[in-house]
Formats: sequence, structure tokens, C-alpha cells
Amino acid sequence: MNSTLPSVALENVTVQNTGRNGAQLSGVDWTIGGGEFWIVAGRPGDGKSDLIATAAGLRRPTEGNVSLFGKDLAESNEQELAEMRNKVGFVFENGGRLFRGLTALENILLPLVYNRQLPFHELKEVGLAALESVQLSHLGHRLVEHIDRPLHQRIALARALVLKPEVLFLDNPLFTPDRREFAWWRHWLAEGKGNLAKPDDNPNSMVLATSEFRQAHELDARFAVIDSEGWHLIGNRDELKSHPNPTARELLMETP
Amino acid sequence: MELQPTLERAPWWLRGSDRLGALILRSVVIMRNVASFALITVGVTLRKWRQSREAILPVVLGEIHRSGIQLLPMLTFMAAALGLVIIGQTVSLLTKVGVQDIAGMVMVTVVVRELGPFITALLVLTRIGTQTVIELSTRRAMGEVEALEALGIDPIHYLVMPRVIGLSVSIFALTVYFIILALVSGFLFTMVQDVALTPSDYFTQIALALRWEDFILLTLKTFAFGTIIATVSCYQGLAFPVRLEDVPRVTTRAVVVSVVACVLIDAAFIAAYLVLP
Repeated sequence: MNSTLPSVALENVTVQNTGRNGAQLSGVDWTIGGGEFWIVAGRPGDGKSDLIATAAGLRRPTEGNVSLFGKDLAESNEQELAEMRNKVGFVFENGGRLFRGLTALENILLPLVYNRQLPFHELKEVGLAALESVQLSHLGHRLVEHIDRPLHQRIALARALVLKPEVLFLDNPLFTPDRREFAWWRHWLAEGKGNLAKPDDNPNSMVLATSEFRQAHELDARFAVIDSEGWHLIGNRDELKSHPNPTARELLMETP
Repeated sequence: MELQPTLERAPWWLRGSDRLGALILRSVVIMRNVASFALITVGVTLRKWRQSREAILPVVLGEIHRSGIQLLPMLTFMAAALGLVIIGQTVSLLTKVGVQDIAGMVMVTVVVRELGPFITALLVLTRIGTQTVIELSTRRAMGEVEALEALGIDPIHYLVMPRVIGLSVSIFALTVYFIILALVSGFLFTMVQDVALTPSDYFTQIALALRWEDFILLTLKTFAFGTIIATVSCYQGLAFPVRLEDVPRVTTRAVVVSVVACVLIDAAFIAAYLVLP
């Protein structure tokens, strides 16, 4: 993909916040360019998940336009939407929403089998490699109900990566009570950011929504903050340190 | 002074008609929504019939296993009970009054055309329809439906279409099994009662009473029942966000709507039998 083209563009978007009754996040102008790593921070219930789901084309905005790879979602038909979704990876929060009744391997291969129309057995090696990339290949044949809950989001990451998405959205993976999982994700994010520069390697862009800003702010990324006042584009890491936004400073545990 | 009396102060018949009107309107809205959902499912089925078979076929087979093979023990018991309790006694009674010659026709009308398909459909509805509502509403509540969309998988194609196909095939197969078993067990009961009707006479009468349209209408009816039960169950499970406390209400509604729709379809098939020469 040409890294100068924006992968996702939001113009004056209003998003309904499902975490807070009736609250809306409005006036969001945001462009995610090729090769960029964005961190969207906010407190739980501020609407991070709703915003990134809207940016990923999973939900329609209340107002405004969302474009994926230069194509306006409102003007896209079902076929075009399905094609665009194959270029967007999404790792849901709180367990990654794995499909119960299937093994970890089947969970990972289902989107490939469905979209590429290839049989499971031909893709087994691909699935195992995806599980290996998240260091969970030993869990491939286990039903997801029998896998520790903190590991689910890692399997969901493998499921998203197996389609080689151009943009990857990660919803709050650092919000985990398991210290080892937290460390794994922290390491993977730092490494994943490094891989964004590789032109032939997807994902090309990455968005991390997090309520654990203190743990994420040292990553080399562009930052945005959501609070009760709305949407704030902060800038890069250096700009973040000196930015006057009280929520950003509060999230960094600094006194405004 | 109030110009219009409130409903609480209205006479009982007015309140009753108000409730009845509300019930009819609610039923019409539900039927319309289910019909829309069914049309969407038909559209997806026709458009994506051959698409992603590697992913869809295992779900269809799983559904046939769940709603067909797993129900065999229960269905066997029901068919044997029907055969012993109703068919055996009916044949015995017909023989006593000297009209054993029409036993085959009675069996075909009662068991093949009516009881077989309807009892099988009710059994599948109570065991599988309710399970489907709970399963799909839980999947929706857990965000799995949105996760499917995020992965480019059409939820109607992946969750609804296989259930419609699986349930229809299962109800057809189970009905055939049910009818055969009920007719055989019914005859066994008549043998125990020393009824003067040979197996050859009994089964010849049934064979002669069966017409070609019985096979066609039985197939159509069982597939219609399967489609109705699967569509209504999937609709109730997927159409609205359901909280845990809503699950019993939604499940009951799925059963009621399915039964009403099956009865209406059954009435249409009875009319078809009457119209046919």
C-alpha cells in the first residue's frame, strides 16, 4: 500500500457512546495515514471502543463521513464493505470475542476459510504459524472455553493478523489483570510499531485504544485523547509531554 | 372536567377490545418483522448459495446432527407411544366395528398428513428452537455477531442460513422416521390385542391409500415447518439486544410465534389436500 494515502479518514464524525447513556462524542476529525501508529486514550466509558469501531467501519456514525482507503462508507455497497473489512483487523477488548464451540485454530482460520474459500486442512499450517506468532501454538486444538480468559485477546490478535489487514485496531489490550499478559502486549506493541515501517508487511497502520495511558505513553506513536469535553488530537510523544490538555496530563499522572 | 374518559374508567368490553386490538397489532408487527427477516435470509441464501461452502457446510452438518440425530431417542419414544396409544387403539376399534378396510386411509390421513409432521415439528421446536434462541441471543450479547462482521463474515450467511437448511432437512428426515416407526409400533400393538388384521393387509392398505401428492406435500410441509422454526428462532435470538432477564420471554415468544405460524401453514396444506382431486 502507498504509505502516503490515508487508510482511514473521519470527517466531523459524531459517535453514539454505548458506554454512557445518551452521551455522544462529536466533532471528530481524524486521519490515520499509512505507516502510522495511533494511541487513543481515555477513561473507561469515554467512548474509545465506539470511536475505533466506527473508524473500522463496524458501526455507522450518527453524523459525518468515514472513509476507508479513500472510499466513503456511506456510499459503499455490501460487497465493497465486505472487501474493505478484509483489509481492516479488529481485536475486541475483554477477551477478543472469540467464537465459542470452536478451537483456537478454528477461530483463527474461520475468516480465511470463509473469505478465501479454502478448506480448513489446507490452511492448518497458516493457522499454526499465526498462533506461533502470538506464542500460543500449544493451544491450537483446545476449545476456547477451555483456554484461560486473559489469553483470549492474543488469540483474537492472531485471528485478525491472519487476514493480513492493512490497518489494525486494538481495543484496550493493556487493560488486563494478568501481569504476564500485560508484559507480552507491551512488548508486542513496541515490536509491532517497528514492523509498520516495512512496506511489504501488514499491518501498515495501527490504532491502540487504551485506558492504561501511563503504560502506553512511552510508545513511539501519535496520541489522541477522549474525555468529557470531547476529542483532542495531541500529536507525537514530544508534543504529548508538553501538551496542556488536563485529561492527558491526568492520565499521565501529572498534576494539571 | 375531562371530555374523554380514561381507559381505566371505560366499560369492561371497551378495555377488553383495547387489549385485543393491541395484541392483534403486536402480532401483525411481529409477523411482518419475521417475514422481512425470512426474506433477507432467502436473499442471502440465493445469492451466497455456493459461496464459502468450506465454512458453511460444517455448520449445516452440525445443525443436522444437533436437531436430527440427537433427537432420535426422544423421537423414537414419541413415535412408539403414538403408535401404541393411538394407532393401535384406532385400528383395534375399526376392526371391532367391521371397517378395518379403511384403516390404511385413516392412518395416512391422521399419521402421514397431520400428526407425523406436526408432532415432529413441535418436538424440534421445543428442543432445538428454544436452544437456538438462547444460543444466538447469548452470541449477540457477547459481541460475537459484531466480531463476525469485523472478519468479513455475513452473520445471516454463517449463523442463520445453515440453521434453516439444517432444521428443514432434520424435520423432513425425522418426520419420515416418525411416521414409519409409529405405523409399525401401532400394528405391533394391534397384534398383541389379537386383532384380525394381517401385516400384509395393514401395510397394503396404507400403500394403496398413499397418493403421489402425499409425498410432495409432506416434503413441502416439513421443509416449511423447518424454515419457520429456524427463521423465527434466529430472528428472536438476533434481532434485538437481549439482556439475561429477557431470555425466557424471548424464548416463549419464539415458541408461540412458531406454533401459530406452523398451524397457519398446516391449515394451508389441509386446504391443498381438499382442493386436490
